[in-house]
Amino acid sequence: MLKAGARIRAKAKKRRAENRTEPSSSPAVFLGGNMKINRRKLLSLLGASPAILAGEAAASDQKHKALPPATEIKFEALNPHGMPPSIQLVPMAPRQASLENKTIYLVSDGFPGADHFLDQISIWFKKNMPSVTTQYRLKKGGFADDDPALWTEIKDKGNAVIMAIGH
Amino acid sequence: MVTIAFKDLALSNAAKRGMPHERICFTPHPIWGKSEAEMYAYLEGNDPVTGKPLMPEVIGALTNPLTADEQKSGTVTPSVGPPTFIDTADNLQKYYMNNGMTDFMPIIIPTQQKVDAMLKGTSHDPEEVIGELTPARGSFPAWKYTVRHVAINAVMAGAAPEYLPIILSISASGLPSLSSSTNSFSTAAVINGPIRDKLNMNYGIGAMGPFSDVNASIGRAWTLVSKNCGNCGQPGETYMGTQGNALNFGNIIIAENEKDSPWTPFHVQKGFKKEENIVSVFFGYGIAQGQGGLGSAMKPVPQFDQGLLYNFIPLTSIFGALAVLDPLVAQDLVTLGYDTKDKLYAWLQKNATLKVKDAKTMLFTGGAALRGPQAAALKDDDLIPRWPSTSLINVVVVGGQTNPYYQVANMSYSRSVSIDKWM
Repeated sequence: MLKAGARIRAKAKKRRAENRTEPSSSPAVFLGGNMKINRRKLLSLLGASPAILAGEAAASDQKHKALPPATEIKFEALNPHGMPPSIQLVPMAPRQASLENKTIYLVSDGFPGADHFLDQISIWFKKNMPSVTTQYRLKKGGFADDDPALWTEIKDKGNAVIMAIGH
Repeated sequence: MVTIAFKDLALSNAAKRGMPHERICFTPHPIWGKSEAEMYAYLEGNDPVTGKPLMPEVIGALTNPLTADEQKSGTVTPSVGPPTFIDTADNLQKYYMNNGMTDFMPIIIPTQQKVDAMLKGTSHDPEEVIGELTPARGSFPAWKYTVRHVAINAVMAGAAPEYLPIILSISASGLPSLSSSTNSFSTAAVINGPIRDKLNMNYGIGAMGPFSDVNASIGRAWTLVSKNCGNCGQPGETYMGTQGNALNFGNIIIAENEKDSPWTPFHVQKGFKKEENIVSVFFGYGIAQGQGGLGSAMKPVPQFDQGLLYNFIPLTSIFGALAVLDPLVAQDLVTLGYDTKDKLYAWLQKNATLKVKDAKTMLFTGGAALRGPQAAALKDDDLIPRWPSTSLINVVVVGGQTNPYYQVANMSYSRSVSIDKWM
């Protein structure tokens, strides 16, 4: 008498043999999970003649030859980008020959930390280039807002600008 | 001078503003929170990009003669690439994703056929310019886009042609779903009018969740339009959100539950007729659950007004409050005496206060009350309003009435746009 485990294994082996598929040229149907059932056998069980499959393989072959594999079919897809504005190039302002005895505006955009950092720059100039005069200014408005009055003052009274963006 | 964390942004932004050779020196990051000694050490150290001593570099930037390139003027038109891309489906998916055109999830490939079908969703000319978007107004140049551009992105998002008018109206609002800020902001859109039922939008159970292709594809399209038509959402360049925001995938899309709400619909409050189809957009931080607010467990009727006040505590003053209430909560608030939204707004604005000494320690909070001439007279224990007016508090009603819950967003109402115009 076989032991229980061996009996179970034997039954499983018998089931696998019953479910074994025919050669891959036969039409097969997947019924979910890993079970694969021969289509001709299925049609017979349903009372239909497997003869209805007679032309299918040939037609299938024909289709298969006419089209490339799905993964190689090419598509033309549209670019989703909008329209960026044209860019007007802005020449840089002429440089100073030297900063000695010049006035440098130190401008903060208002972001936390920029004011303290610019203060340290002012201290650096006092220590290392004492002839340089620094003027601290907080730009008006939000971070990206223009401050025309400040730009006018700088053009009138300053020679250069160091602008700090904080963070 | 810019910290190293913003190097790409600074260089890219300078170029887009016509100054590709702007002389920028970089410091270590961050500046904020560093002591004076630490900041001075930055100055005595090196530029982390060039490796050269920083202050001599700054002085050189101000004194070295200009090169020929730095003196150039004229106009340059940036290219966005060819009008079409041809490849297999798999390669197109990778191409769109690797070139920043998606939300990193598979798209519906926008073939001409699909886009033509999408364009049937509107009577407008495909070449009509409908608006402009920028990751941050004033900081980045705005891009323009047409009905066709939006339709392409709507196809990619998986929308049906019938949803296009809503997507066009959100696109026409000029509010991107992806802001450049380090804050990781998010957006919301509230849809009112008969179109909600016509398209079978979800305003019942799971209204703000992944339970409707209409709601989901509209929200997704908003992000794709923002990325592709507004040049938003390019990390390090036009997107600096330090942690990002999960809401950006689909945004908060709310079809207001007008039939179960005891109050006037949101769009009617804003002056539109009930039968008009309107989308109202909001901008700010994220949204949080309201359960656990003070008074929320009281019986027989929970004190939802007190609960809302409690949930307002962590909200900043730079944005308002958007309370999203299940109809059961709205009905309970009516029982408490708030038979109109305006009464609720008035009570909330009056009672949403905080002490001056607390506001001074809180980021982005206190607002106008802490500035101006009157601020000098304030004492530490004085109470100031979190928001100066009721216009910063908004309520919409949505949900399937499985329980009286609500959510609160730190968001401000931006504007309302007609959907009917884009039919």
